[in-house]
Amino acid sequence: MDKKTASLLFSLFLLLLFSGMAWEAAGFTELARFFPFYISIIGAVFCTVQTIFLLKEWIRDKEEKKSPNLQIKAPTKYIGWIIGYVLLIYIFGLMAATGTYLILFLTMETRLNWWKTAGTTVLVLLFLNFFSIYMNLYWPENLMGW
Amino acid sequence: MIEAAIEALLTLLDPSRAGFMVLGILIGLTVGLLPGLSGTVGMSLLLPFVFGMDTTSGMALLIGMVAVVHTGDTFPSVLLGIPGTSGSQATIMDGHPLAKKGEASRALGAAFFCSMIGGILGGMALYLTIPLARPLILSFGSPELFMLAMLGLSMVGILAGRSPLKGLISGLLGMMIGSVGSAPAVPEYRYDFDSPYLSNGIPLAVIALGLFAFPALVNMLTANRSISDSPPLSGGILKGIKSSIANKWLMLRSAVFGAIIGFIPGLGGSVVDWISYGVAKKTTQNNYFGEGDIRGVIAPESTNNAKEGGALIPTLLFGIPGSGTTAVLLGGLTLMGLEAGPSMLTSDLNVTLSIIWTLIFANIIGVMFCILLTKPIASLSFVPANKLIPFLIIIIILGAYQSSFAWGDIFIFLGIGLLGLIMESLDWPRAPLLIGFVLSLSAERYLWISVERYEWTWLTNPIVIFIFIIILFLLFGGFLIKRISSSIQQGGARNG
Repeated sequence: MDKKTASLLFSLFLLLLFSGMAWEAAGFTELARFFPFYISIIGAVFCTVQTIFLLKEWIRDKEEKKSPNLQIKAPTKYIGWIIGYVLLIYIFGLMAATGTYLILFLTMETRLNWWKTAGTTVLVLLFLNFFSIYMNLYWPENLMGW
Repeated sequence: MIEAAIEALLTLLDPSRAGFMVLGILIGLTVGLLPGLSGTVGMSLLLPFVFGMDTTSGMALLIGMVAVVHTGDTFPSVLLGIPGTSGSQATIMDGHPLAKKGEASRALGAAFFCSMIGGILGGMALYLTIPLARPLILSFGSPELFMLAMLGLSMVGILAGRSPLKGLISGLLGMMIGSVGSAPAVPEYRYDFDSPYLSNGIPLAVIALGLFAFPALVNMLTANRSISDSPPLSGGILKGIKSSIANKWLMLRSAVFGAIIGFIPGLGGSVVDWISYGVAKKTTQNNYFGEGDIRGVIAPESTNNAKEGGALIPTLLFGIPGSGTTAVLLGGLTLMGLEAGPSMLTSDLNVTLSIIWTLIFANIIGVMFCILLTKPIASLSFVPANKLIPFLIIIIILGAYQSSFAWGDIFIFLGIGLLGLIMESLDWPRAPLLIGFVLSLSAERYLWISVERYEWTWLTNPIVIFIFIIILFLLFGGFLIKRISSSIQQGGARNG
């Protein structure tokens, strides 16, 4: 997807978001309504203006074919790593998920050899334990109850 | 006030608190020397961990980090020719050519020394402002405080750069996200969709981490810069310090300039070093700026550390964040039970003074670290992203969870992270969103109190009118300075 088309779609998304928030705010009691209602109305108006500007640019650039393409594949891969790590935490808990994620990432993406990967993973898990005790941190709950 | 300053110094020097300051310094140097991260990302990373800390320790950690980001960012600017953060772009103009000539250590030495002097002068500027600002701030009521919130929100136009409309929309979106949860004027929940998590509002740390840290990490992994050729560290750190002393007036002038420009909200970071570089180029005789002139390193490096002290004046004393970093800092104050504004000069004066001491000490200690450990610290600049980021991802997700110990924190972090990544890819400014979010609650609360107490007569209050005029002045003045700095930047880039 080219950048101009993505900008236009994002602007439309924001327009819908502000409109939806204004609609929702209309149902609040008077004192709760005045701030979000007027802010979202102003936001929707600005988004409409922005969308019109972008639409004009999009039509012009479409004819001249000069809008650059967005890089999607590589960012999606790394977003996938982050979401995958979160899913692992959700299912197996922080320590098991961190160990698995680090071994997989360091082997597949960083391409470290096995003993560096194992050593780093153990060090990180020890550090996490120490850090959590020292800083009184909480770990996310997981489905397994570990 | 001198007695209070001594008391704050003794509190800060308590070993546990000093330890947090040193930890903040080490994190700040690391954040600075890794291209792609910034003070805002560093601040977002630390924010979840300050919750529950005593105020002096928390501020020592946050300010220790932010004070030295522009010292650490000198390494990639000089050695690699890429800015560690947006505040060190001008340093590249002469720092990197010096490194190519085999004078990397001289450039680094000059940059470190000037950063230290600049940082100390910035802290002193903050200290000297307190007695001047105190009577004014203590006279403020809710109408004036509402106008100050508006003043902060008006910064979104300046921060948006070439797209004020995008900045305004971004700021308004931040305000809408800030209105999630309980309404300040009436016991009613808004946009909570019957979720207990959302009824408490979205934590600032989650927003900051998602908006800045998530896109930075994904982009660093995507780029995965590999460094093959870097100039050797030669030329003498001491030689650089001597060069700075030889150009002491340029150094002092640039530092004072940085503190003043830093005071103007919205003009921090990426602009101030270019203005300083441009002014130095115009006013320095027999210069060969752009070809490896040490004075082209001295001017921006003196300025970018000094601006941190200046930038804290509107943030701490008036509650006006002028950048993403100071917006996160403002949220950090709230997390520790503090409120920017009059109380920072009365009941919490010791915290304000400890911040000043931290600024001064952090700059001195940070520079000592850099001088003594130049080679190992420099080698960190060459670590490829895919060796470093997996560990940062763990810290960030654990940090996001510390905001309210709920899975909602992590889900919202992912959602806001994707929003931040899209905004970053499509050139939508993100700092206005954070400022809108931080100021939305106080803006709504003060507006409601003002209307309840004075109806609309508060609009004729002379201070309210005065602040309104300042808003207009800043908006137009800020755009003017931004245009001047971008023309200097373009001129510099052409010469480079």
